[in-house]
Amino acid sequence: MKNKSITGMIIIVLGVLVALIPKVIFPVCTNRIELMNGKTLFMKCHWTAMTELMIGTLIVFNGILLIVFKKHETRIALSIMLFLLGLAALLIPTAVIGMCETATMACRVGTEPALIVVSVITMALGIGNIYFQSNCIKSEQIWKERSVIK
Amino acid sequence: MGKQRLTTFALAVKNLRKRSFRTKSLIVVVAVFSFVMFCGGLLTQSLSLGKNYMSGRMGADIMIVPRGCALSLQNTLLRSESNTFYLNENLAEEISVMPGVEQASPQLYIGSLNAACCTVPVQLIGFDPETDFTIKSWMKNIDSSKLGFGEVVTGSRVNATLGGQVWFFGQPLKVVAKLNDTGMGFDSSVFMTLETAQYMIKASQEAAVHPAGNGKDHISALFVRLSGAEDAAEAAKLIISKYPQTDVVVLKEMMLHISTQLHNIKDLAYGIQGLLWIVSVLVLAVVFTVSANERKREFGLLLALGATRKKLEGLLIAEILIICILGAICGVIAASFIMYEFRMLIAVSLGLPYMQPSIGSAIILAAVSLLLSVFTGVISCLYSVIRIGRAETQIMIREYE
Repeated sequence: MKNKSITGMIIIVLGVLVALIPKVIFPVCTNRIELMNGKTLFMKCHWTAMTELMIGTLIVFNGILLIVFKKHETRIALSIMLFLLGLAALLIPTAVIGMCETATMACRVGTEPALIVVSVITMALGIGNIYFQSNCIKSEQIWKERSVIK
Repeated sequence: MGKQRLTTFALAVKNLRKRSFRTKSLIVVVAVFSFVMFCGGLLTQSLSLGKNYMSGRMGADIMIVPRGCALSLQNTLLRSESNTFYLNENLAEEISVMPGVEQASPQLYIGSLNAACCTVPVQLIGFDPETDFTIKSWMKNIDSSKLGFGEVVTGSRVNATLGGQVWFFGQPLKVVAKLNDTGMGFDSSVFMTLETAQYMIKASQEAAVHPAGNGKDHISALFVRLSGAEDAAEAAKLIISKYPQTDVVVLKEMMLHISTQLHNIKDLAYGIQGLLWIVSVLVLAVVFTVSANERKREFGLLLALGATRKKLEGLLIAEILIICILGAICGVIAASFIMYEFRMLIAVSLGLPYMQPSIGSAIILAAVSLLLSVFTGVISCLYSVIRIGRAETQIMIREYE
């Protein structure tokens, strides 16, 4: 029971981090691209930040569901979902949308590495939880079989 | 279930698995220790490497810039800051004939814009290939004297493909080479001939929303090599008194300032590492002593069943070795991942030459962290091992009765 809550709590913290890193902790570039005609555009990293905010919210929701649901099968499904959300949080800044071109810009220096670290931890936690829940199912089955034999 | 030989290692693994919370907690303590050891080691090694690389290649003894721009030049060289400033061009000729001056080469700095006119906001550096003696020492892939009009060499952090084009102030420039990592501001710079750079100033006035200066003066800094490097401070004083509109950056003083900062960072890193080592030894020693004390009956029964005292000592050492190796591996992997991902943030935040060591050096550092963690574990369990080795079997079994 305690373990379930702790895992859920950690996932909620990771979700909050994914959502807050691009806006608060390591903010993406705030400048806008200035066109020759004087108009301004958002940089690529702005859209990455918005997407990460959504993914972070979903990870938080996933954490809440992991605290609420007790069945191992449901928790495995939620952990697979967590792994996929972590993968999305990793691919959005590195491959799908990306960050600004220059390696020394704020989004490349702080936001991108922080998101990579947090998303890798999220994915690892997802895989770890799948393994842990599968083991729980196996040991429950062994106990059931033993009680039937008795 | 198949039969399993009860070796010291197998018994130690079983013991650790049974007390999983204690095992995990101790692994975390060792992991934190090896994480700090590895991070501290990598940080100080990267800073030393960056400083040595920079001082060995700069070539110039003094750098002359317009009055009030000394900090801008240092920030351009160290922090990748983009700056635009101009010096009176005639100065180059006058300085080069001064007594004690062996070589003088002008450079022109233009900060590109974060706007549609420019591919990326970087520092454009124009240099004279005929007189240059600083930039060419970084260029291994190309002969800098063959750099033509409209051709550029980009720093390692500039996102440009070899043979492709980069745009600055509405003008396309051909990328003919890329520099290797320099660990300093050159990594985010684009190098071109003075002619191309002066053309860029003109183009900036026509195409850009914010022109890069007035373009009347055509050099930003003068890099000077003296016949006697020890006279640099005297030469700087002489130049400032003769040309009060200038500032002089003496390389020796700049490197001395960097060395002082490096020493401070090293002292801090060693202090933290030392403190954490003491804490780790104490925590591991206390936990192991308490645990060994609680397990006296277990050890007593093992002795009664025929286990030798050496076997018991080996069991305790095997347990701590497993914990230390697992913790050190976790700590080193986490530290390598974080230090690699945040290398740019560290370099930019410190504002010092920063160059990460090669994979070979990093592996050696990881091995040292691992050995140190194992050593820490072994000395923290020594007391428990000695106590168990000396205790009487009967007393051990009956102590809690």
